[in-house]
Amino acid sequence: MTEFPGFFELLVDFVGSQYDRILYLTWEHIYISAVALAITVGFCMPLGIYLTRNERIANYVIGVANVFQTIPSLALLGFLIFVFGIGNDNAIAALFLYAMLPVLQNTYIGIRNVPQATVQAARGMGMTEMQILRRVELPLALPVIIGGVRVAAVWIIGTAALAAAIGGGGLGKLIFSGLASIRNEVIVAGAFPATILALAADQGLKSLRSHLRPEHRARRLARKAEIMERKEVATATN
Amino acid sequence: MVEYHKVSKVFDDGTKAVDELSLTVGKGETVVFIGPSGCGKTTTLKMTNRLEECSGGHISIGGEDITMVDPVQLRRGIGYVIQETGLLPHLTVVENIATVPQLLGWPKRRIEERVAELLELAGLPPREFRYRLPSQLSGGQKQRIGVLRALAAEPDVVLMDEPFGALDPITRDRLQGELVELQEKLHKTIIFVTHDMDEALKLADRIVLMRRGKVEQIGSPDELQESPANDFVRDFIGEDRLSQITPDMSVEFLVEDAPLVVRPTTAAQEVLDGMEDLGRESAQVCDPRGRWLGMVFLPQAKAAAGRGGTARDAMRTDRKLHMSEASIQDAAQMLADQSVPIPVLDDEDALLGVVSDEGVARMTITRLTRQKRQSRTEAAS
Repeated sequence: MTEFPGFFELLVDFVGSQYDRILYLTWEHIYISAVALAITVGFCMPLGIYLTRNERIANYVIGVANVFQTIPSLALLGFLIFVFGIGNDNAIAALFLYAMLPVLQNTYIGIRNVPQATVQAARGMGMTEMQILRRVELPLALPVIIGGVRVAAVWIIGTAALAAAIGGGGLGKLIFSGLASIRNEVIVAGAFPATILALAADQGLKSLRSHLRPEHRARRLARKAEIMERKEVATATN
Repeated sequence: MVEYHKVSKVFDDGTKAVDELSLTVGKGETVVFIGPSGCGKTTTLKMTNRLEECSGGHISIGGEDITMVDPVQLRRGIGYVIQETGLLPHLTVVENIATVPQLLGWPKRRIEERVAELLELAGLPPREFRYRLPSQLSGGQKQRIGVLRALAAEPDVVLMDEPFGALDPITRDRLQGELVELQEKLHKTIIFVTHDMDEALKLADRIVLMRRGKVEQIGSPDELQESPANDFVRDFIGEDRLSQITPDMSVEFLVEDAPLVVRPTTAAQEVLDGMEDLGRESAQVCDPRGRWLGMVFLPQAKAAAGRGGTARDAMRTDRKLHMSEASIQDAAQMLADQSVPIPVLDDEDALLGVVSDEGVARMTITRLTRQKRQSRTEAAS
C-alpha cells in the first residue's frame, strides 16, 4: 500500500501543486457563467415583458425557448461550433440558449399574474404605462422572476463544465482531463468548486429574493426612520 | 363641476352599457350612481377619468372637455378609490398615500407633511401606521388609506367605485359615517358608485338610479323615497324590500357581480388558485366577449387540475338563470338544492352576475340594520 498513496493524499498533493491553475479555472468558470447569465437575463427579461404586451406570439416564443432547453446541452454545444467555432464564445452562446426558458417564462408569468385590479388602480391614479411596469408590475413579479434566474444560474454553472468539451475553459477542463487520465483527485478538484459555485449562486439569489420581500423592506424602512428620529432627539437635547 | 352630456358607451361586442346619460354634478356635491349589476354605473365612472372612452356625447370637468386633456394628467387631477384591492401591496402606507403627489413631482418635504396630515385626519397615528404594508391592515384600515390616497394631491373631484363593498356591515357603516364627516370639512365633488341603497341614501346629495344603461330617476334621497318615478325605482329603494319582495319578482334584485370569472383556456390549477384566494367554491367561465360558457365547481376543478386540464374540462353548463324569465323563487329553489352561486345571463347569454345565498344573507343583514337604525332615530325624535 505504501507505493500507492490514498485518494486524499493525492488530492492534497494535486491541489497543493496546482492551486493557481484551479483558481484560474474557477475564475474562468465564474466568468463564462456570469456572462452567459447576464446575457440571458438582459435578453429574456425584456422579451418576457414584451410578450405580456403581445400575448398572441407568447406561446410561440416560449415554445422556441422550450426547444433549446430540450436539446441535450452537449449536442447544443456541438451544433454551435458551426456558428461560433470552438472556445468560450461558443460555450456562452450555448449556455444562453439553454437557460432562456426559466427567465423568459417566469418573467412572462410573473407579470401576467399581477392582479388586474392593482394595475387598473395604478392607471386610475395617473401612472403612465411605463410607470405601471416599473413601479407596480415588475416589483410584484420580482419574486417569480428571481426564481427563474435562480434556476437559470444553477443550470448555467452546471452546464458550463461542458464548455471544456468544445475547447472552452472553466472547471470542466479539470473534470475532463481527470476522466481521461482516470485520476479521481483531478476530477474532484474540478467538480467540487463547480458544485460550491452552483450552491452559492442558488443561495445568493434566494437571499436576494428574501431581502427584497416587501415585509423585510418595510421593516428596514421603519428601523431607519427610528434611528433618524433618535439622532434628531439626540441633537435636539445637545 | 362635472358635466355629462348625452354620454353613451357601446362596447366592442355591441353591448350598450350606457345610453345617452346627461347630468351635471355641482361643486361640492356628492352624487351616487346606483343600480343592479350591469346597469352601467361603473362604466360611467370609468369614463369620467378615461379608463373607458365615451362612444358618444362628451364629459367635461371644470368646463373643460376631458378628451382635450392627456388621460394621464387628467387622472392625476382626479381622486380615485376602488375596492380594497386598489392599494399597491408591495408599498408601505406612506408610499401608497404619496403615490399621486409623487407622480406630480411634489417636493419630498411637502409630501411628508401632507401624508402625516392625512393620517391624523383619519385618526391613524402616523408612528404606528407609516411603515405598515396593506397586508398588515384590517379591511377598514385599508379602505381608509384608499380614501386618503385619493385625497392626497388635493383633487377637486373624487371618484369612488364601491369602496366599501367588501367590508363587513359594521365597518362599512363606520366608514360611511367618516366619509360624511370628511366631506363636511373638505367639500369635494364626489361621484360614488354602489349597489347598496342604504349607502346611497346615507351619502348622497343626489342619487342617480340606473338600469340597463339608462337613467331611471335622478333626485335627492328624499325625492326618490317620496316620489319614485316608476315601479322599478319603488322596488329598488323599497322601504323594507325583503318583506315586500314576492317570490315571482325578477331575480334582478339579487344579482351581484361574479367574484371569479375565468376563460375556458385557463388552466384548472389557476382556477383552483383563484378560488382559494377568494375563498370561493365555484367560478364562472366566459369567453373574451363576456358570453357565459359554463361554471366550474371546486371538486371538478381539483380533478381537472390533477389531470393538468383547463377550465373547459371541469365546466358544467346546466346551472344558470336568464334574467328576463327567472323569478326570485326559481333562484331560491336552485340555491336550496345546492348552495353554490347561480350565474345569471341576459338573452344573448352574456354573464350579468351571480345570485348567491351569501348575497341574499348580506342583503337581509343590511335591511335589518337599517330598520334598527330607523327605529332608533324615530325613538330619539
